[in-house]
Amino acid sequence: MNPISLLLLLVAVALSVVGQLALKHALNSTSSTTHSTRTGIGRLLSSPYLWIWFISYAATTIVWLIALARVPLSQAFPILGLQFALIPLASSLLLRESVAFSQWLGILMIIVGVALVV
Amino acid sequence: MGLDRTTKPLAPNQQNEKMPYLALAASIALGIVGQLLMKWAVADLTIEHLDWNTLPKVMLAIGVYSLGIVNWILALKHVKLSIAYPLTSLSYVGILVGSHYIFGEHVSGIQLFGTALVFLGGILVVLCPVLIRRSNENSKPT
Repeated sequence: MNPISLLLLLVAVALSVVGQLALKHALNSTSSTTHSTRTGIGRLLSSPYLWIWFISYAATTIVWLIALARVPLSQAFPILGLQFALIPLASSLLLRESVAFSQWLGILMIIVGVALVV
Repeated sequence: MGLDRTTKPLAPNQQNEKMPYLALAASIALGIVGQLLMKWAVADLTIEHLDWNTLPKVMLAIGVYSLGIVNWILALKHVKLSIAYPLTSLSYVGILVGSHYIFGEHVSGIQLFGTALVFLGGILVVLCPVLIRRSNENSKPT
């Protein structure tokens, strides 16, 4: 795999991490102040973080497709598996979610498993 | 998840607490079906032989996939990202089973082992919060 393909895949991973974190942050910040009389949809749609997620999602898909045209799936997917480590890591650091030791162990098993499947 | 109890106007009952996990399961299942439908739609497609009949099939796959995203948002409203995201790896299990039984693709022993690891890892990720919630419920004053 050449450096540019690797860079493309890492960009796809980074965009995806940013997107998922933004979506969770948007949902966290809109639901915590929701009143019973008002649904959260309007609030959610007006959150800039939702749109960060939306744009990241679209960009991830495009970058992923460009990368896939250059790299075989079996090489590309293990790098995408980094998301399973980075997203919980970022959730615990930035969103202050508590992650137990057994959950890190589970995440490690998932990463190894994903690398073996493709 | 403990925060939801204090912010929700209505006291959530047992069923309300399970709903986000049902939405998460639906999201993963729809993702698997969408992915398999996509494969089905483009299976006999080649660059020289583009067929308009594939368009509705592709639209169906995208539609199912979109429903999966809606369920993902519904689930993520209440489930922690550090739990929900690792669980999406369960779609690897479903897609592997589907590609073997529906499309007759060959699955190697190593792939089977990897799938089992993903599955067990997913159980480990979700088991911990379920156990914690159980013990919280038991220790709650009545």
